[in-house]
Amino acid sequence: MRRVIESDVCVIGSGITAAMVAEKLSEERRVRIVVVEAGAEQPPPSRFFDLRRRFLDYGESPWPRDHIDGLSVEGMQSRSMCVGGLAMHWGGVTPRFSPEDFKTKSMCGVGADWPISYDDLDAHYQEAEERMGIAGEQGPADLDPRGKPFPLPMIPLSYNLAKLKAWTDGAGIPMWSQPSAKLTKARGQRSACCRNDTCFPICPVGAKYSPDMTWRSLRGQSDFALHPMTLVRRLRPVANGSRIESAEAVNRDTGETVEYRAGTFVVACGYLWSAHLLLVSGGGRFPNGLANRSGLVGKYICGHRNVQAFVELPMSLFPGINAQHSLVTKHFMRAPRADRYVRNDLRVWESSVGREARLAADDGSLLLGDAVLRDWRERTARATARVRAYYDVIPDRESAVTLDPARRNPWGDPMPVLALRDDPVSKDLRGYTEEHLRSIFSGLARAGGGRVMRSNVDSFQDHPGGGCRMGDDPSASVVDTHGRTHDHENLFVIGAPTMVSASCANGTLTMCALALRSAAEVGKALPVKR
Amino acid sequence: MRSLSRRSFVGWLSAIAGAIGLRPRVAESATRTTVPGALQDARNAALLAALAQTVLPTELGSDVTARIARDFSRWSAGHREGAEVLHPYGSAELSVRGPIPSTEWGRQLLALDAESTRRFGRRFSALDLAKRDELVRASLQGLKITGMPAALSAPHVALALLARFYESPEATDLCYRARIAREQCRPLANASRQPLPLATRPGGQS
Repeated sequence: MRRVIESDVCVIGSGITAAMVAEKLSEERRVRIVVVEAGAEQPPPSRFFDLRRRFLDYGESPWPRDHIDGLSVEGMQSRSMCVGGLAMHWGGVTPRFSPEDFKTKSMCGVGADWPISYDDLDAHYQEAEERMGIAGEQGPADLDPRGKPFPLPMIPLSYNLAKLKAWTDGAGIPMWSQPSAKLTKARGQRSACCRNDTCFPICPVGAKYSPDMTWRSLRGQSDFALHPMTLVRRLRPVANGSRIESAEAVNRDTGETVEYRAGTFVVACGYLWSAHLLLVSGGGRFPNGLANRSGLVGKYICGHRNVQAFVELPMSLFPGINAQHSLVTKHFMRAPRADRYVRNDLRVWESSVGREARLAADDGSLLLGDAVLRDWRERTARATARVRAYYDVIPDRESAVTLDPARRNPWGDPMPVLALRDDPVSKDLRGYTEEHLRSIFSGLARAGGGRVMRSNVDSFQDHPGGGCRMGDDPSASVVDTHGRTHDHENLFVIGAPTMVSASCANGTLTMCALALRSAAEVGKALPVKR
Repeated sequence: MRSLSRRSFVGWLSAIAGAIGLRPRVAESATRTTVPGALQDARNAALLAALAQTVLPTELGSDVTARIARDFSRWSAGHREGAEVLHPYGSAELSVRGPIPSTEWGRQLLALDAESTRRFGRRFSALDLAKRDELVRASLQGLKITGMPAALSAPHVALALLARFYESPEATDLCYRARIAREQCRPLANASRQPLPLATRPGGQS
């Protein structure tokens, strides 16, 4: 049995970038939109408090059905594949990239320049911030430029962060309140943040933006539909020509084949599954996959690593006042020209590491009763700060998603293989970079009369992107600066996959800004809503 | 006390996954079952309260200590074996909750009582704190105790009770003698103030 569903725009994936695109198009254009999501519906907000309680009491996932059995890939960032995507349990941290991120090649001789600049993206950043409700404080304008103020006042520095800021100020490092997708004032159905401390993995009051909010709003409209549990297996080009005619999907509940026909297709499946869909759609006139004339679909997967340390400081803090909020600086986002390339986004949090209650004293003797509390209080006379710096990893061309010839998903399609690789320059710089970051932490500790208790490097690359790199040259990129594939005029890839590099800051806001830029382009072919 | 950032939480979760009773998800359709609440046995309630008086700080006062013992009992009954745990960030692995050793905890309580009767000729709850402390320490001998175990997989009921209390916001407030009230809904604007000191009850208890 085969069902055909027609629309003007078919969005594949229902994560945060899909939500941005669908919302913008539905507001501005007369358009029938269908969003196709492979994963399941997630619990409604009425259950969020209970789900949060189970998480706090038992560590249970508030999102237990947010993945698809059989779609696990070694090295993937997250299993999340559900209505709302990974941003159902993101931390809501929303820095912009820095101007330098878009021109590392021309400024520092490293990596590749983007075909767009920070200024090109500024208005889209602003729009993403407005849509999500970003609370923030602008840093020094030369480090943190922006065309307009943040939509919402910053999350106030907690008592703890204010003391830590005095420490970093003393070390000569300007820091400010981390911008976040958490309301500091109530807005519509969403409450203001009330420091529940569980932004990740679940905000019980809707202060933190998550895509389900957008989907709930759009689902009330007659020209919008969201189809969960429907896995798009292939995109089909027309018999003659390069336009995409349909997306072939399977309903995971019923096994029914569903064919989506649309004027425009928007692939919004993140860095891994977007490239996978293009590759697995290959055949006939496109043996290497769709949009792959350049051979770069799946290539240049990018991300950033981090070095973290816990610093003991001679001050009193009260851990838990607003534990997920941090200080941030872009002071180190600008690589010194004459030195070796190294950039990072230093952040500082309050921490309780090393200051937890314990049951054994230093001499190993068992602590019970009043002795536990006495010991704990003695160890909280000093404080711990967590400091962490993401640093950018320059992606190698072969940092890639490819098809696995040996492994198929439950529907018989090849699974992806993910292999992240540093560019040789980045590989060569790694030891120097990590040592440099440790020296920053040591200097900070000294400036505060403290000491580094311990540090670690997270080898995992966070906030991945790439795989459908943007560019002006069709032989060296997959999509143009609006996310339109060079090879198929009605096929867009949006958000993370289009990124040239991953900066050293969380990528979600940039992915959303890029998606909104794409939406503006998609909308040009559609009638304006009056 | 848990560090609350996503990364540190996930790191913590991954590091102790084995230790706290997580297990790899072997069957995608793992069933949920409620572990019988051995601690809910009426015989154990008084024993648990006596144990709480022994191992928790006296500063809490007897009423609060008794309430913590009751909360612990309810909490252990609410555990769901097979419930999915938040899958680690940066990893494709899934895991579910393993069994909670609450039946064993119930047996340990009864064993404390039996030992009390054998050695001192009185029920555990009738002993003075020093003798109870002696019995509890003896029952913990042989266990490798370093920091604070995870409450859900603590190898002894005394450790589980301690762990459950010390991971609570209430314990943090007691330690800092301040109303931090982490994990509770609090006005954002108040975040910049030093938390208020805990109110002192008549008799000096906070």
